[in-house]
Amino acid sequence: MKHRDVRRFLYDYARGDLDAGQARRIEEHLAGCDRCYAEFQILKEGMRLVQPMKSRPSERRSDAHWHNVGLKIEHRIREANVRRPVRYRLWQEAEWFFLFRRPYAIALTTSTAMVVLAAILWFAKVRPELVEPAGPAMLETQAQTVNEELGDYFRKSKILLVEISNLSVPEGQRVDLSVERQAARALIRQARYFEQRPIDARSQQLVKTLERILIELANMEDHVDLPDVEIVRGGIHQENMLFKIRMAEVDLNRSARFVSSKQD
Amino acid sequence: MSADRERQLILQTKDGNNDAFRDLVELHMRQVYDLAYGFVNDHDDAEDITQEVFVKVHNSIGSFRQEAEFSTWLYRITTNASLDRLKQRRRKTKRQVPLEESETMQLATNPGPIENLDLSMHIERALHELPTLQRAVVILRHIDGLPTRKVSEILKCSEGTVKTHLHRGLKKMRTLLQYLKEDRP
Repeated sequence: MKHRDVRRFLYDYARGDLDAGQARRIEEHLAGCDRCYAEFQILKEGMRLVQPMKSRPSERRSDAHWHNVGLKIEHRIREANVRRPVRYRLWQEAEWFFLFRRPYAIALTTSTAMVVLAAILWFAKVRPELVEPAGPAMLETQAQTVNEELGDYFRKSKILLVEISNLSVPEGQRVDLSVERQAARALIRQARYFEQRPIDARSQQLVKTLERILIELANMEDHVDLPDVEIVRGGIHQENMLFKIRMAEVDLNRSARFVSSKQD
Repeated sequence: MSADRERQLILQTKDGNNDAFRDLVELHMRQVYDLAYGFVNDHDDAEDITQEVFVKVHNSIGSFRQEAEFSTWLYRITTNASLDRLKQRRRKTKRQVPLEESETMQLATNPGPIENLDLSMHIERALHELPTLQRAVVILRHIDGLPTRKVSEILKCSEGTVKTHLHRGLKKMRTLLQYLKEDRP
């Protein structure tokens, strides 16, 4: 019998859990192997030392104490009668797996890492078009999409600003601007989106100026009187917004026509 | 109490019968406490873990399928809660002055007069020097006297793993308690 096999069964042998045949083979090995015999003696000594621990710590407490513990448990159940979320239970299971099934955990981690690595290599080598930067045709398509979105943004802004400019507010009365404010908020969100997109410097400047006026409108109260409306109107006229928007729209239309003729 | 009676209590508890749950608590409270104490070596912590375990049992008894033994399930929850407590404690002691460490050093180098300390106290202290897994298997197998198969079910690992950790744990216990042998006439 090999040393390794003997060590594997040494615990069972020390506890007397082996069948007669196996026990005899181990005895024979121990009789001729000093190292395994020393190991066996250490193990037996360890087992002997753990024996006195058989006394129960719970016996050191009285029955009255245990009655109280029972009451405390009931109290805690009443107090914290909330179930743990599923996420927490899954985390506990994962923790348990990594603690007690280390070889499996290592195998799982290694195989996951290999799968990830293989996926990266596949993307880099087999499907280079997915990781390489976009070509000129793709950039052109992207620019066209952004121009269409920008055109839509300018059109909506123009409608809103014209409405505000033409709004009739009788002296001393208030008008409801809640719908306009809502539209302004939506346009501000759209303006923020353009900050991340590749647009020309002039359009960018226009979007920024327009955003300032839209913020002013969005920050007003729902019901406003004439002086409030005049503030927004002042901004529109001062910046000559409607003219600038019309010019930007003309530019966008021109570039759209140029792209479509090139494609034809 | 018979296994049938226990099964009946579990079913009644699942149906929301508080008296049945109280009987289950009464039946297993001390075992849970002993196991938790084996891990944490502190009465207050062991009692707190006992309470925590039964709150968990109450909340999740609906998911307990009676294919496994109730005690195996209960021991698993207790072991889990105890290990969590030890982890919390380790985190805390990392931040504080390592008092336990100095105590450990004293145990290894200068154990003090054996007459003043009960043998079981020395063993308890040595047991708490073992790494988590070794401690878990030694407690479950030797302190609670559970069969290896049941320990492997509680810890969700193979019997071979349990035996390997038992072997290593007992060897380390013997090394840690070597001084007892040397001091004795």
